[in-house]
Amino acid sequence: MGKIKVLIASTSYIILKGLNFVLKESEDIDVVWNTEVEELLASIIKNKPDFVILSGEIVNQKNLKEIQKLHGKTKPIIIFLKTDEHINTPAFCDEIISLYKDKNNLTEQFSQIVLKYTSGKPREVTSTGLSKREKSILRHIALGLTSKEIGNKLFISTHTVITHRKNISQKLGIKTVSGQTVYAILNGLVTMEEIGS
Amino acid sequence: MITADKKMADLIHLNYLLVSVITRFDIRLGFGDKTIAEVCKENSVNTEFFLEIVNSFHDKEYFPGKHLQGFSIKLIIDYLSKTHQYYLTEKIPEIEQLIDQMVNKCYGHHKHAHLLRSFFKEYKEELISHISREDETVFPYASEVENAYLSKKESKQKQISQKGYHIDEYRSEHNNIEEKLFDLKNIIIKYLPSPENQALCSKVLSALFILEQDMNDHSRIEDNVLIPKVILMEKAIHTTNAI
Repeated sequence: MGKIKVLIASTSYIILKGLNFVLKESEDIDVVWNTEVEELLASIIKNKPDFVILSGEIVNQKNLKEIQKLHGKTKPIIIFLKTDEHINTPAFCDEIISLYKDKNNLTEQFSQIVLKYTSGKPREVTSTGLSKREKSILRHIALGLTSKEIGNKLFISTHTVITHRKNISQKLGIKTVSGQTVYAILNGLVTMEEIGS
Repeated sequence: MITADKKMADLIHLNYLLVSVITRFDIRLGFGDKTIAEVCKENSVNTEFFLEIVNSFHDKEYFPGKHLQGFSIKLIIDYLSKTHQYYLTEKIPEIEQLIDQMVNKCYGHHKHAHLLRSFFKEYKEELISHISREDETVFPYASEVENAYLSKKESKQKQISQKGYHIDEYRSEHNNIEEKLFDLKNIIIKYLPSPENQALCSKVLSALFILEQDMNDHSRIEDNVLIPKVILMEKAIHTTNAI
């Protein structure tokens, strides 16, 4: 999956704007919809958000069930509370965030929630961290070996090598063998002498 | 949409990259307040064709290629060859020079900076050989097919039929060339060490992005206009001569 789509709803303009602003600071969160309370259900159907964040005053047991049904049980609903004291009341939502958290706490909590509900799902590659195996395959690519030769050398199937190569291209953003060779040299996976050019 | 009654000057204000496109039609700057139609007429340029080319260059959505297919192969090839010349005589030397400067001034202390130069050289050689194959083989073949088709002379059509090859065989080797350009950008953006002179890198990158956009338009015309048009004529010729 790509970036996370979030829908927020509140009767408070300040909370909507503020939350929107805070969420957009996170690199993982891309799309944020502000929704009027009346349009909430329709907006969930239309936008299919990954997360729904509701401010406490609009939530009751009845409408929450309805929201859950439309939103999907596996996807989280986050309740945003205006005061600390209410923290124990809605036991029927997935996460609770307090309005009075400071910036660091808030960001931290958001990123933990994001992590919790997205781990295990394939994510877009965000870092170029090649695995040990990928590095070893890239080294052999730079040395001019074919996928078949690499497979023989590393005792894996050609098919597996091809899969690794696809991942390497995607992670590096470099598609051609000569481009990958340049990368391998720049990163010390092979030396100029070994390549013999 | 860009229309014939628009001022030529406004066209350039709309998209400055079109300067290089009008150059391929031998249209020079300094057109005052003349409209596109007037400037085209003065320069003996087919206005309709000019409009199709600039519209499809400017707006990807505009490009279904259907209108362009109505023009003669000769006209299309003429434009495509001019574009080749523009790459070979202007863009490539310009970028090569910039890369040379960049290697010297930005990464002077880096022992592998020369790799960038050799990577570009490889790209350039591939591009040149691709272009000369098109100019020397593909385009002349396409013209022959059109001539034979239009002449309706059996002898000429037989010649084409007997050649036994199809334009399909030439269908795009563009991929590898496009990929190399893409890689080159990423190597500069992501993998070379931080440069000592970023202004120079910025120039190189702009030039690469502009070249890429231009080439995308160029390949689109080749793949979606020229080749399908030749295929249609080939089919007509082969069917006539098979009977």
